[in-house]
Amino acid sequence: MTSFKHLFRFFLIALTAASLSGCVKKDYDEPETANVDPDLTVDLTIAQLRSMAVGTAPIEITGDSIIAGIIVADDESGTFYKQMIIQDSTAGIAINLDISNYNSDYPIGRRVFIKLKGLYIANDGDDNYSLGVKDNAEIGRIPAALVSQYIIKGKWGLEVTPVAVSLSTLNSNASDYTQRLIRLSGVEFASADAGVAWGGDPNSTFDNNRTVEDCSSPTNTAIVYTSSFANFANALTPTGNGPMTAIFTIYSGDPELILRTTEDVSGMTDTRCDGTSGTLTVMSIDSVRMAYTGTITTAPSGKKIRGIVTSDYTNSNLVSQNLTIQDATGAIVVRFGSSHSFTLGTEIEVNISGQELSEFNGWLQVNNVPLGNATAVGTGTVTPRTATIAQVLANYDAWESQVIKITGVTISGTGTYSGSQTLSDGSGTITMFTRTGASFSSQSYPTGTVSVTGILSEYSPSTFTPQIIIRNTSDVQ
Amino acid sequence: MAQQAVLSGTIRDESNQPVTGANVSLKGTNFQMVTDSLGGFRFEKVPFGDYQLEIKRVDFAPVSQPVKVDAPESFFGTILTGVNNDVTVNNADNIPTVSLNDEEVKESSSTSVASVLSAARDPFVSAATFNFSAARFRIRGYDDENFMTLMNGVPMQDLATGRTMYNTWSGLNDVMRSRENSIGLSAAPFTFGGVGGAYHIDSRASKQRRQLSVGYAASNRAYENRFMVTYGSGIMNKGWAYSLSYSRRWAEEGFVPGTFYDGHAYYAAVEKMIGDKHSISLTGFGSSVINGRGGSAIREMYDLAGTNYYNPNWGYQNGEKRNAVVGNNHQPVIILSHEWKIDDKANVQTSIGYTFGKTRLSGLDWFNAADPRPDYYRRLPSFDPNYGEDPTAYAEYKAQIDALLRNNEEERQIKWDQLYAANAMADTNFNGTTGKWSKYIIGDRVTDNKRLFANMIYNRVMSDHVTLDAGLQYLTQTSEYYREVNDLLGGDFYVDLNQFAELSNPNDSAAAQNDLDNPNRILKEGDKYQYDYVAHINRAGAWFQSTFKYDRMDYFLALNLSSTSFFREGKVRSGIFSDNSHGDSEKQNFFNYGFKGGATYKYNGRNYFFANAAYMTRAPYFDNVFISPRTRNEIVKDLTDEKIFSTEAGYLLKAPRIKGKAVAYYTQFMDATDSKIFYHEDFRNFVTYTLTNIDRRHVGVEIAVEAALGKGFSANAVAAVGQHVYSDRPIGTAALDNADSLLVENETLYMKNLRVSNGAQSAYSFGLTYRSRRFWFVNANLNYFDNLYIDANPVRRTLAALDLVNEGDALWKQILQQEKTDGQFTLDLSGGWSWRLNNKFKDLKRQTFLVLNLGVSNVLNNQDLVTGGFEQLRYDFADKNVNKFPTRYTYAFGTTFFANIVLRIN
Repeated sequence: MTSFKHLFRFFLIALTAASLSGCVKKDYDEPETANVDPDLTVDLTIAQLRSMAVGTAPIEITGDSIIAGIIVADDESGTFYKQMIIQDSTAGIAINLDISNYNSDYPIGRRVFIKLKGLYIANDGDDNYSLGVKDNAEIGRIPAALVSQYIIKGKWGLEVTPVAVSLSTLNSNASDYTQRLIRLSGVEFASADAGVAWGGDPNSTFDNNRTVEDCSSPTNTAIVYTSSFANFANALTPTGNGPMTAIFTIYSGDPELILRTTEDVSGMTDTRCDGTSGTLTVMSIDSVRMAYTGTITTAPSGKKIRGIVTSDYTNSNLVSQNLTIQDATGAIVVRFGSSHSFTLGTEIEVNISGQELSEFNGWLQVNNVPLGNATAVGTGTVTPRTATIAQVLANYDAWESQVIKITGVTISGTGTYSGSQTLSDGSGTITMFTRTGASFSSQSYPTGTVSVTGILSEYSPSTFTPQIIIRNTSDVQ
Repeated sequence: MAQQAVLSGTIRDESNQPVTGANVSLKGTNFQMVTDSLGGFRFEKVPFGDYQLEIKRVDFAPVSQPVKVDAPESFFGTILTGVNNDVTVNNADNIPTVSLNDEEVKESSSTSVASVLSAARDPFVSAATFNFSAARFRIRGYDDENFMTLMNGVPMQDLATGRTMYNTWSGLNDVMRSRENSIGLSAAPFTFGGVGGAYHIDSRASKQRRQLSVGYAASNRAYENRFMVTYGSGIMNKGWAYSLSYSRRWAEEGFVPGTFYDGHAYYAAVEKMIGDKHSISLTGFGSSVINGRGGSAIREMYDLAGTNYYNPNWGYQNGEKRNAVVGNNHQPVIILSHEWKIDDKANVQTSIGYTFGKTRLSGLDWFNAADPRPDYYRRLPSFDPNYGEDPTAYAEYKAQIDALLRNNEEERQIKWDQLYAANAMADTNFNGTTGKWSKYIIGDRVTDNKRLFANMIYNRVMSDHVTLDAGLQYLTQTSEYYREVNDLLGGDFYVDLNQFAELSNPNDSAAAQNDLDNPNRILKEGDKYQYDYVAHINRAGAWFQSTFKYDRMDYFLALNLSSTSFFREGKVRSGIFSDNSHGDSEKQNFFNYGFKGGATYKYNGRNYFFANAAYMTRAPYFDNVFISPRTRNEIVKDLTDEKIFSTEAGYLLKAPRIKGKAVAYYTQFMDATDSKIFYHEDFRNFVTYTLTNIDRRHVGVEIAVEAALGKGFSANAVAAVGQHVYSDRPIGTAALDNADSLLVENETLYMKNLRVSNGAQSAYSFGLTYRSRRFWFVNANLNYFDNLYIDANPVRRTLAALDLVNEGDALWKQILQQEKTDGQFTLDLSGGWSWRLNNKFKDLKRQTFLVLNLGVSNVLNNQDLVTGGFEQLRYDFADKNVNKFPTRYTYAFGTTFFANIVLRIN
């Protein structure tokens, strides 16, 4: 019985202890996030502040002045990096700060109060003004830990009306608008820059400028600069005409516009200055081929092609900038300005507006297309056209660049794929060419009767030489 | 020739607990020995006659009792010593290590064995366990996977990591006291064991003392309060026994600022003896601990904070300290075991155990937002955002940052209000979902474990000289690893996107998807995200051991065989690794074996010489073999078994007034595999760094002496001097979590002769104890720790890191050298008192005791004792400035105390 008494005591004690013992309260109270301004008196306008920057050397602000402005550009989309733009009713200014992704604390639309004492201001010589710490002859970034000492947070969610301005005024009175949010009306991208990627090739820093122009004659223009790190760098510029909002700067004397997000151009959908529609239309590959006049030809504006990639870049049997694309009407080579990574079977669209159509040793290509002009839109397959060698030779012009399958073939030559080998099927012979750089070039090709699938091409520096270029070794079976 | 007898017996204390490690002798003869783990002793060939049996142990007053030997088999039965075992110097409650286990800061660091196991009466092990634990000393420098711990016959090992699951019984000290230990390479009757030894905890109901015990402890270590109540029925009339225990441990704030502790532990066991031969027991227990963790920091932050206990993990939220890194473990265990005493000579124990539950560790996570960590290196005075272009200007704002961080605690801690404010502003329309897309969240790294362990142990005495032990085991485990949204911090949702992949693969819109089959998934609190994979692991094994005992020599031989297989099952298809992230990886199979053997030369009952050796192979652990386990099924190249050769030789002295042990060991680990995951700022990405071909050599000596000085005084001295080095050049492979190509593949790491970072490699202790006959004691221990080496960054020991540096230059040496911290002293004091209340209150029906214990650790408040440190896994290849990514350190606590009062009714 005593055991049970003890057992009873055990439970009594354990329960009492469990209920009375200090409980560790860890349900945290959510802090208030009041949307209010700090109690600070603004005694300087941004225009007055800008006027303190005399010459291009950083000037220390020694007074206890405070400015206030609303953030008009942050780093959320990646077009600005460690720099924010604030603006009041008089002017705008850039602030350099050493925090990446600072937009979590300082998003567009938040009012900030800047305690200026100890900061430096400078005009970079192009009438761009920035605030920060001293870094020799430039304005450096405010160290991360000190940012909250200088930049005091205020209300968020505020709207800033951009300054309406024309391209011609931007060109004539550029320095009045630097570091401001401006709005242009009735502008469009130059035809070579419409419907292409904003930031172009991420591996290249030379493909970030797009020209925007208006309908006056002669046209006024400005450069739109987009960092390759922008999250919309691979999206396409609008092809229509309409309003554009942007931050204005001057780069080496030239007006330059920087978008915050693509929302800033969402209205550019109207008819262009030349009366064409504001959208790119798909042109069949066959009609692109027809448009080639025999010498270097410029492709029409407002056009794109859409088809399936039939080359296999991973096996390198075409040079790394080239691919072949085929639609229901035909096929063509697209040669990009740099190496691409579109895989076999990807459906892509390529903006060919104003691009060059030319031949390389007889083989027709859309030449030197910025990589940003192409976007993947899906996947698909191309069924090879089965034909005899005699048929291939007879229809070469119509079938160029298409995927051809020849059955009952024997391969003769050096024994390995590399270089030119001969295909025979009884009806005739044709060259099978493999680049030394192809991943399979040193492999032996099968002996006996096989079927060969490949891209129909030509290499005719002097005499017409049609060639079959296989994509990988599974093309030979 | 006089008639001779075998005299044997068991020594128990007044609570009927075995008195282990006591010296038993027949006064005036050479018959003397030390009691085993069950309190047993045995003398052979004792001439008939009258003797005085003396029982001595350094921590209690000697007991003497007359015995008459007049029959060939004199079984002495149980001798009650009148000693209260609770009041011993080595009371497990009295050690600072309770906090150590709970204080685990690094997810990957292994738990020191010393931390939870209460000491066996091996004088070295007990010193290593109690006196050295504050410095995170590891016996022989071994990682935890080199020790095997069984509970009621079941191996308590996490198969994915090899580590012992100590946290499953944390807080249940009262019912985990019954243990059997085998130290180093000696033979254990219950398992083949690891090279470090083996432990068997018997928590069955019949092993629990008959008592009701209620205790309260106050401390200032990991927790501030502990309440513990335990009931044991003892073995009752019809062969039933049951036992219950509950403990509650809590702290609003532990020793380290911002840490808190909230633990409940429970235990229930029942056992039924069926006749003399069978017993069936069912034991269930669990320990739920939620605790805010401390973190390591760089020297610069400790200096700015003015304390070596700076903790970057917390910040004020509405005036209250909130910790972002919170551990939450609860893995209940159920063990069913059956013991069958086949006859006097044979015994078989069959057990099956099941454990399940989750371990969680929370942390801040953020998406397209500023790094919120208060000790982020770009926030510190040492970082110049303008890259040294204007040193004068930098000096000025460096001073400003220094003053700001030094003088304002909130600048050194997380700014929760700012994170909530950022989320409050984050109004978004994401693919039609409107609301606040949290910029910052708290995410848990969760491991959800299910383990089923079956084990059988067979022991048989074959003859007077030969004993046979054997065992079989089958273990199976599935562990699911994933991340879970814990707190949206005031926001409305989060999105399952991989911002690192998005950054590295701008052309590929699928790359940003963590889960291609559920793209752009909107997450609420409690949703899984980021990664989700399962480890499936099976192991089957058998071992066999024979021990041979002769007059002067003992021998043993043991053999172990096991087969291990595992594979990874990806539960999500990641955007970047769409073809090898989802589904099952290739199954990995390993067959392993081990041999162990040893001999002891018994010069006489007081002097023993022994030598043991072992060779074994071990399958690599699941956690270490994947190139990037969170994202793909790819396994490191040339995966192979680890091989271990170990040998030890020593001398054991068991004299009545002095006990001593001196052992030398040599252990060579070969071809081990290990991996580390870290965040790489330059790649803005997680990197898994896998090391293969790791060879380590651990050599050293262990010496321990305990002497009774008379009049209740005793002294002990312990020294552990080790040298644990990388004995060859490991091979490194590094992969970004979010890029297909390997950063580094099969790179030679120039780490030969660098020291393994495993706590102090040398430790010394000297202690004095006074033990009164009136049931109280005081003890003082002076400890010295040295040769603690900082974990070397493999990235820094490569050809690439030394590129363009002339061999032998100061810079060359600086890059390759390894930091050793300064040696440090600590002083610990403890005391205890046991009061038998029946002496005062005569009407108490049952034996009732009040027991007090007080321990003060690090009395001199030495706050400079480094317990560990690691070079960050980064390297400044451009400027070769080894200080650019400084070492992170952790420090042992300053002065702490533990005071415990227990009322026990037997």
